[in-house]
Amino acid sequence: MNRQEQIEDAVKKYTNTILNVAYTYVKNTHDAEDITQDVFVSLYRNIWKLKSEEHIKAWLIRVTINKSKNHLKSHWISKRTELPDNLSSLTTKQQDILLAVLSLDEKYRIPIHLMYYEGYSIEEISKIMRINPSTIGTRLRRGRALLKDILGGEDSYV
Amino acid sequence: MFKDDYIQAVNKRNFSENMEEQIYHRISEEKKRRKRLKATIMFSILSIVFLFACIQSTSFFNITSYDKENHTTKEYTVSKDIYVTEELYAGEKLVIHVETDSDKDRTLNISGNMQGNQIKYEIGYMVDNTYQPIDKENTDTDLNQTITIKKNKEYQLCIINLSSNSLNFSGKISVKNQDLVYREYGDDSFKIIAPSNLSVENVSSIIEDNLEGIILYNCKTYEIREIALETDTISIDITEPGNYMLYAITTSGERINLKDYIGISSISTINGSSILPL
Repeated sequence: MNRQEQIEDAVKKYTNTILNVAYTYVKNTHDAEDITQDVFVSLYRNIWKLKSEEHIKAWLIRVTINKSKNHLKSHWISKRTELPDNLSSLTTKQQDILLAVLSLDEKYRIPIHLMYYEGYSIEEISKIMRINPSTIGTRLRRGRALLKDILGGEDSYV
Repeated sequence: MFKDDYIQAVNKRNFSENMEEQIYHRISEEKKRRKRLKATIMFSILSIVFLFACIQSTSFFNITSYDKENHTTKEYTVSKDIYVTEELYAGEKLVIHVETDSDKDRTLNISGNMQGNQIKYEIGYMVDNTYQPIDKENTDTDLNQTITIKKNKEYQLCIINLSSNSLNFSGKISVKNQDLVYREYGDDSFKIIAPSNLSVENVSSIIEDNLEGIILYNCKTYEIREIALETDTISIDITEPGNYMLYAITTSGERINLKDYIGISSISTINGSSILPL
């Protein structure tokens, strides 16, 4: 597979992943889309450095997190008043769950998203975020506890 | 379960339908930007290479044509006096090496003339591998320059033909010890207007210190003539009119002007006395 094919393959496979990670971080559809485009431009510039498909996915998620962080740090974004996204396509329960996750601090919501949506293990999340596994474990535990508080319901739900 | 509900909620989130298209559009813009950047860099590199090649080829062709027409640098070495007559082709250089065996500062004088169409030449000298121009665009036919030669330093006098035509140089190049050369005529000189005999009597009474030598100096031609002193009287025949100085040099290096002690008699019968004190 040449580089062009690798990029096309990555766009097909991971656009959704990147959009969702970015959205989970910045909580805005348009910003998430802009970040996703930037991430794939970065992939185009750096594709020659990446060894395997698994590396590409992990690299894309790491770059997305970094770009999202930088995005939120920018002066213009920090002063902007957020407009709520249209969540009308979701059921009430799904809206509650999504809003509950998005209401968590970023240090909890990103590991929770990566674990529950992407299916990554603590070890894999630790590698992607370059944070100690035990710290990730702690953040997941606290994040889950916070979600329980927000969502209520049965103890085994989260 | 939370996981299933969360996955469903996330999957139902709406993003732009043409997201992939937008990504490819951004990538293609990036490709174009990089192409432009590469082109700019390549253009800059090629420009530099081209410029460098131009400089090199210019030098190369200059050297080639120079060699083809046998326009080599013409070189002489001077220790005291030399007379040079040379044709200098366009761009050609005349180099006079000054012998470095002196432990005293000296004066190098070049006097002569340049003939040819559209006279244009440069005079300068090399010292310590550094070129020092004296007169960058000289167009005069008469050429007269004097430079001080510092002791134990290697000097090369250069005359470069800047004209597009050949120039003919003829002249005298002389090196003299500096303590015997006086470039200004000044009050110490006297003028001879016709062939004359100069005499100074009772030299030993004028010079109290030990006498090293008697020097007659032609102010115009810079010619130095050492006068033999066999008796207590100096006698010198001067056939060439001009400005002169007459000095006695003592062993302690003192210079005594003898102008006021000179007696004059004409060699020829024309015009009688022929000395005009200045």
